[in-house]
Amino acid sequence: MSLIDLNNVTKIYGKGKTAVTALKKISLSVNEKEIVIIMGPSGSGKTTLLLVMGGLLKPTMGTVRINSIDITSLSEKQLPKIRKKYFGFVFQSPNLLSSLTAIENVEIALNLAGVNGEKARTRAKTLLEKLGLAERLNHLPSELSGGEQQRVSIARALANNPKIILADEPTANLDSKTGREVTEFLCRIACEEGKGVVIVTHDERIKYIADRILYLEDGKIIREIKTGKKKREWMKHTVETPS
Amino acid sequence: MVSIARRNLFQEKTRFIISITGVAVAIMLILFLSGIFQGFLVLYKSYVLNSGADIWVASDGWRDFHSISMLPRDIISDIKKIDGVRKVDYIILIQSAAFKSGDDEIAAVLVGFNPETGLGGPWKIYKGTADIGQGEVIIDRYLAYKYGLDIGDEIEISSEKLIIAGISEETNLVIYQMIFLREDDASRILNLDGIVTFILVNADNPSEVTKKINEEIPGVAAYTSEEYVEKGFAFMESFNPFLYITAVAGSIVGIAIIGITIYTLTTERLREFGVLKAIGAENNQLYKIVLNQALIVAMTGFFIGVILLEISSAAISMFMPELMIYVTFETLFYTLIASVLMGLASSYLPIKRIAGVDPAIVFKS
Ligand SMILES: Nc1ncnc2c1ncn2[C@@H]1O[C@H](COP(=O)(O)OP(=O)(O)OP(=O)(O)O)[C@@H](O)[C@H]1O
Ligand SMILES: [Mg+2]
Repeated sequence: MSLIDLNNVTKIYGKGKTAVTALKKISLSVNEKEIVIIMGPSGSGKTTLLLVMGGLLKPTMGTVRINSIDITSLSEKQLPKIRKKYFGFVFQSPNLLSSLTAIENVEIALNLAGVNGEKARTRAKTLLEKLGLAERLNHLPSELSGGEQQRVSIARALANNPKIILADEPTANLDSKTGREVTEFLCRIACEEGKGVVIVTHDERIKYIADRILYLEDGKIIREIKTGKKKREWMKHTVETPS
Repeated sequence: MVSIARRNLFQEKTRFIISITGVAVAIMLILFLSGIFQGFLVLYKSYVLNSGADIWVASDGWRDFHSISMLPRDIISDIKKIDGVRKVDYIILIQSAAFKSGDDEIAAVLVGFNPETGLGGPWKIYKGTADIGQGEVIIDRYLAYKYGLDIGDEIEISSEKLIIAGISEETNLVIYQMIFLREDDASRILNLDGIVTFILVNADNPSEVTKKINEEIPGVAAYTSEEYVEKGFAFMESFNPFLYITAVAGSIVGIAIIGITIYTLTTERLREFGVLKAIGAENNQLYKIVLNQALIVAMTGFFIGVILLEISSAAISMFMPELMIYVTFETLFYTLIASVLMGLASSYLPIKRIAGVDPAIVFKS
């Protein structure tokens, strides 16, 4: 079953002479338990695509449906609720709140969705433990390594049990080994919980975790490769807790 | 909910302490000035309200505590005839009298009263007696302290020597203090044969009797004690503009301090607010964080300001005992409200900044 459907999505930034067409009539769906990798050169529109999918940017034309709700027709006031319910975001940099500890950074996402107190704390703790951060719960972001910070932000993205994870180069700031470990972890947890994942990356060597790889160029999908077999192999293996 | 507001504020303790101190000092100054003003009023009024009289009769045209009232003593017998009057006596009150103690020339408010009825006499004796005889005087405690006078000492009024027989408390009008002597002594010393300044009356129904006095006796203006203090000290209201200016200036300082603190705190973390927006925070939830921050600073500042006021009042009563800092609950309450309003007002700009944050910025590194 598809979680999200983009239909003929076009995004034009700006107007007149300076207008940039970042997405050109993109149609695409992401299904449950599906992992989609998006690749493409700088400026090809990858981030723009994620923003449109996540209800953070209105497309100029076309529709974005989540659970058959057309989110392009929703108002600014309604969008946060959709984001909380359906999406988990992982950014290039972890973007943690600097004054909150690891566990509080996860709790806050739950709080925003109306989950409070002990319930939020337990859920945050469980997630961080799953991500190998049991010993780091009460550390401030400044006391964590880049990989650890990114794992906290993954826990935050998963906190409200979203349907889809949207990750924009989540490992760009990490060394390639740590980066792959973090990505594997994100996808494994998401997959096990039946979520869809859309992940933008430049790392060719991580392809094996994907069901599909989309190549973007000049705002268009120029190639699509199905790689489901390798992924199923990978899912069978257990992965070590990332360090 | 995890308190982002508190965490953000406490992360930079120095800044937090500086802004709290600023707000506290502003609050303290507002309370302090109003406290001095209220203290004046309390001291001024306490003599009248504790005079034992229900009604004060002055000469027609008497305006306030600083103006002169002169009445013929014979009126007393007329007033006595009025229905409902229980007791009548008179005092001789001279606003700015002077006496000598050794080489010191001392200004004071002089009151001649009748120790038999006690009306208009000292109402709280610290030492000695209120029941003075001829040639005796009671002086205010602060005056005694300031000039090193004590029971048995001698002072001089218009070349007449008087012996201090009592020391009274709460008879301190800040700038002047009161001294009391027998009305017959006062009358003789001041050459006021047959003339008195105020007639004091006890009555079962003061407002009714006051009305009757005003109707039946020409040339007088009678007031209940409450009316008398209202009218007598109404001139104090001319200080109100100063109080308002201080309150407004203090509030502006407070708003500026809280505003700068919260504004820098917000702009430094605009990206973090963008993150919160991206992960689904609604604007109202973010505004609440800002308001929380501002109110924490305002409230903490308020409470520390009250503590500072307590400390400075204690210091003042040590070094300037004639002053009284009197902060009413009403004043405290309004200042608290003002602090809350300061917090709200100073949140306006930061909230506008946050409203304008585009969560998409979070995707740019
Ligand atoms: N806010 C904006 N206003 C105008 N043009 C924009 C804006 N954001 C992106 N663009 C343009 O849209 C195009 C696509 O940008 P986008 O950020 O989606 O690319 P990207 O594939 O994510 O690139 P990168 O790999 O460098 O992150 C680029 O040409 C970019 O200059
Ligand atoms: Mg990008």
